[in-house]
Amino acid sequence: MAHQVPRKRRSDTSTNEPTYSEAIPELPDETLGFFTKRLQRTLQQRGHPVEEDEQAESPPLPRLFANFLNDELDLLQVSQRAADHLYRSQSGSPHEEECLFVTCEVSMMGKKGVAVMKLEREEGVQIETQDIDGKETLMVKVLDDLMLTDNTRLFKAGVFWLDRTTLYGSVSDTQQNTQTDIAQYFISGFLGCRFQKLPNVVTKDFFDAVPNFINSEVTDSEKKLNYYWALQTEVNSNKNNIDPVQFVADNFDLDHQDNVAAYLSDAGVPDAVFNKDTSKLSDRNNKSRLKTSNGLTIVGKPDEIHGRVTSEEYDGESAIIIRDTLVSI
Amino acid sequence: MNWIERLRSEYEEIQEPLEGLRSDLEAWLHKTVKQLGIADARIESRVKTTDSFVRKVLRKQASGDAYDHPITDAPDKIGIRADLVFLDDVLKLKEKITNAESVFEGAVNVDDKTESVLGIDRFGYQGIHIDVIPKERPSGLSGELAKCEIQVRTNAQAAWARAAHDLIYKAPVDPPRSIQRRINRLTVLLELFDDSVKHAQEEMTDSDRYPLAIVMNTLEELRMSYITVQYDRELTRVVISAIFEDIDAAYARQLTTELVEFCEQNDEKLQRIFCAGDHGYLLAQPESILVFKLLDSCRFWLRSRWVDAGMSYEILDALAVSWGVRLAPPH
Repeated sequence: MAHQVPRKRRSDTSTNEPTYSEAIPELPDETLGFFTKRLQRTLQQRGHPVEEDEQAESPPLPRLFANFLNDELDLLQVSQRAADHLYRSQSGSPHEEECLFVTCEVSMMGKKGVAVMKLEREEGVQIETQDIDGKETLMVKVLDDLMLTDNTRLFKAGVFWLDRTTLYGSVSDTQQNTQTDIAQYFISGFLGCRFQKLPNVVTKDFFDAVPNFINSEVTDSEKKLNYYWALQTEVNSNKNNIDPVQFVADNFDLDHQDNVAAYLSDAGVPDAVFNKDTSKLSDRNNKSRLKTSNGLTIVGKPDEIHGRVTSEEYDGESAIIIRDTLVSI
Repeated sequence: MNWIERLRSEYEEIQEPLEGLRSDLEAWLHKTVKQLGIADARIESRVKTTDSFVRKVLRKQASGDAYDHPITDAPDKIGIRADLVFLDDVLKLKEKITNAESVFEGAVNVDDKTESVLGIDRFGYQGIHIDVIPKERPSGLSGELAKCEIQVRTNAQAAWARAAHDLIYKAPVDPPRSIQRRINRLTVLLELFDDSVKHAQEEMTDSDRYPLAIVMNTLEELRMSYITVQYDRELTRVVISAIFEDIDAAYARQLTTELVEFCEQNDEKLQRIFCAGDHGYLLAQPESILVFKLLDSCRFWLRSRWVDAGMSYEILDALAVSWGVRLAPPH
C-alpha cells in the first residue's frame, strides 16, 4: 500500500495532509517482483539488525507492526497509521522531502513479515521517437516523478517480523552517512527501535575475527603480514564504513576468502556494510604485536612494522627481516 | 496355555514395536543408499510373522539345536534386503553399515558369504548378511530382541537366492544331489554376470562425459521437486562445465551426494524460492540448485570461477540475492 506524505513545514499553516490510499491494490507479479528484488538487495547490502526499543518515547510503530503480524490489524489500517505517524513525526526540517510511503506484507523465511519503504522523487529522462515532417526524431522527455529506479541508492527501508512476542527487524538508510544519524531519526524517532548491536561492537568483532583467522589458518609469514597490514589500513582509513564482503575479496587470496568469511560470520559480523566505529579499538590502534614460533615478539606502530618488517625465505626457512638499527638492549 | 501358545503370545506382544523398528531401519537404509549415490536399489523389509517364527523355533528344536530363549535367540525377526545393481555398491554399502557406530550398538556381525564360499573349486550363495542392533529402538525391545538382519547383494545374487530358497532350502523333501549341484552350478554364471557388469561400469565411468552426466542427472531429478517448467539442457552442461573445468567420476559422485543432502537440509527455502514465481535468469534451470549450494558453502570461489569463465556476473548476483548472500562485484 502506498501513501503520499508531504513535507511538513514549520511555518505552514495550510492543511497539507498526506494522501492516503483507501484500498489494497492488486499489483501485477512484475511489480511485486521488482519491489521484492530491490528490498532484498538493499537489506542484504546495507541492512542493520534492529529490535523494538522499550525505552523509546511511546512510538506507535512497533505495536502497530506487532498487531498486524498477529492478524489484529489489516494492511490498510497499519499502513495508514504508519504514514500518519511519519507525517506527524517530521520536524519541519528543510532536508525532509515529500515522499511515497509504502507498506507491504512479506514472507520472511516462511514467517509473516511487514516491510516499509520511504521513497523520494527523482528526475530522469525518457527517450521517445517522434515523426516530424516525415523525419524520425528522438525526443527527450523529462520525468520528475520517478521513484526507486535501478540506480536509486537513496531510500529508507525496513523489514520486521515477530519472534514470539518480540519485534525484530532489518533497517537500511542509504541516505545517511553515519548510523548515528539513522539512530536519531529513522530507527529511534520514527520506527521506535534500536540497533541490536552498536557499530563499535560490530567493528570490534570484525577486528577481532580477522586476526583470529590469520593466526589460526594462515601459515605463510608473508601472507600473515600482508593480511594484517590490510586490516590495519582498514582501521586507519578515512572511510566511514566497512564492507566485509568487499574487504575479504580485495585483500585475501582466493583460497582463504571463503574461510575468512566463515570466521567473520561465526564472530557475528554481518555480511552487510556497517558503520566503522573504532572507539573500542583505541588501544590496539597504537601498537601492533607480531609473535614468532620461537617466542620472539616484535612490537611497534603499525605503519612502522609495515614499512620495516617483511617475511622472506632464508636458507630454506621462513625468516622475519627487520630493517632497523638496534639502539639499546 | 502350552508353551507354543505362550511363545505365540509373547511374540505377538512385541510385533508392534518390531514393526516400528523395521520401518525406521528401512528408512535409514533408503537414506544411506541415496547418500552413497547408489541408484536403482531395491529395498524390502519384513517382520517375521508369528507363524513363521514359531515354525522356525520348532524346526530348530526338531534338529536337536533348540534355542535356549527363543524370543531373544531366534535371529532375523526383522529382515531387510537391499538388492543392488553393481557389486562395488554392495561392498560400499557393507562398509557403511559396518562402520555406522552412531546407528548400531556393539560389534556388528558380518556373515560375508562371498569370502566363505570363494575358493578355487567351491560355488554357492554369495551375499553379505549383517546382524545389527539399532541404538534407537522402541521401548520394550531390549538389545537381543531388537536384532535385525540386513542382507546386501546384487540383483543376480538375489535372483539365484530366490530360486535356491524354494528348490533347496525350503523344499518339502530334500532335493537329490544332482538338483543341488545343478542349482549351485548357476553361481558360476552369477560371478560372470556381476564381473561383466562391473567392467562395463568401469568403462563407462572412465568416459570423459560420465562425471558431468551424473551431476546433470542428479540436478534434473532434484529440480523436479521444485519446478517442472521446460529448461535448456545444453545450457546446464555449459554452466556446470564452466564452474568445474575438470571433474572426475569420484568427485562427481561426492558432489551428487552433497547435492542430495543440500536439498534435504534446505528444502523449505528452495521451495519458497522456486515458488516465488520470478523465474528470471537461471532460476528455472537445474544448475541453479548447484549454484545455491556453492553460494552457501564457497561463494567467493564460485564468484571467481564464474567471472573467470566469462559468465555474466549479474546472473550470479541475482541468484545470490535470491539465496540471501552477498557477493563482491568484480572490479
